[in-house]
Amino acid sequence: MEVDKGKGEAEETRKVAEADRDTVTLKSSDGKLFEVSKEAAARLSTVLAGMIAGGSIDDNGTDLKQIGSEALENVVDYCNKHANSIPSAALISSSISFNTAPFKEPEEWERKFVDRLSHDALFDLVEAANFLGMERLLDVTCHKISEMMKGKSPDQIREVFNIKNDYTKEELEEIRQELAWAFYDD
Amino acid sequence: MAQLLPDDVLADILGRLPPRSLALSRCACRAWRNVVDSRDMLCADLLLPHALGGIFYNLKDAAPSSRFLAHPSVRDAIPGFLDDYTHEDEVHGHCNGLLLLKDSVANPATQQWASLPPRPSLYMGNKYYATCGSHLVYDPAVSPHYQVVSIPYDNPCKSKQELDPTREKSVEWPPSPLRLLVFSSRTGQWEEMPFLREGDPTWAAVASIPSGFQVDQCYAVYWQQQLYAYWKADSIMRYTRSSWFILI
Repeated sequence: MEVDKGKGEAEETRKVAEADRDTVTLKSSDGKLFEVSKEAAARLSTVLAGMIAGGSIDDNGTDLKQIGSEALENVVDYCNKHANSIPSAALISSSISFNTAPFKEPEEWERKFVDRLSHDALFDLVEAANFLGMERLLDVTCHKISEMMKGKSPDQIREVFNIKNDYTKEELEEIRQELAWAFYDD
Repeated sequence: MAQLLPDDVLADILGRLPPRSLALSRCACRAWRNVVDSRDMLCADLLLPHALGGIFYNLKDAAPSSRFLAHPSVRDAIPGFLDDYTHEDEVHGHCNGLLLLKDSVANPATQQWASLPPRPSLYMGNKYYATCGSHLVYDPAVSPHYQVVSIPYDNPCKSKQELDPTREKSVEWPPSPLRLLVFSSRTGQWEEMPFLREGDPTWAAVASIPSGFQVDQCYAVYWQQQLYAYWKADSIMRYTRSSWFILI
């Protein structure tokens, strides 16, 4: 980002001014602006930390074209709520790869935070967390979604997650046979 | 909406599910199945209990037999199992919780067992081959059905008169395709199935069997959907669904 920009005096001045501020301004895909504590943003998001360190934060609103205003509002809300509670995202979860990172159960406020979201908002938030490299938020949202899947039949899962069944009848029967043990009632 | 998630995020979510939920989620749509399968998320390790109930061991004395070593509570849970299923018989092999006996396959946990039909003779190029040892292949993550693979050995027990004594020693062995007898619990029958060789054939130019080496016991282990069989004195063969490969 902004790699071609010269290192003129004006920019140096701008950087100094920016460094003095303790918030950053983020701009959603639909042009809405959100303020978030610079310290929390850098601590919770590897991507924002990189942008802050690299000086590619725009005072007039750093463009996050992949994230809609509702999701960005939730991200900022999460950062603000998180600001004083947990030490560092990097310490809690070191990897997003499945079944390797030790998962720390969501805190009460984190559970409430994701419970109040609609399905659409939850999925938008999980994508935003993934895009911004927010490991803890990704952990909490993925956990919530997996909780929603547990104990459901394939039909129920498709209904809840609005998934189109793209198998043929024959394929579906084959899959059922492959994993017949999973379909037995206990 | 869930279909639009990046694969890594979807894998992160699915990876948190218990095996049964994961298996059911795999049926939701193709994209989900691909995520589960491409990452080997439904492996047998997840599906099988990790606690050890007991150990079967074979005694190699005048009258070979199998014994079951377990806590009395476990023994009580499967009463009569050994008497019913292994009398005058040894446990020949095992795979993911199933036992291969001389003429049957048994599940000690459920006390179910199934007889195997008589194994037909194996001919290749008009010659009879002794089959030494059968190996059980069972992976509940792949299929509820098991297979028994019977592997021919080039070096016969000398006492078996029916083997062709004129067979040339310098032929490439094993041939490709190699025909193996495979029993499937899906069909309930033994079938001769061709296995193609992978890799360089030059290793097998000569029958480099140490004279006097007798295959009286053969060992194999099933791991990650492949069967690894100790073959002759110095090699291990790896079998997949349709091919084999010499490792050493």
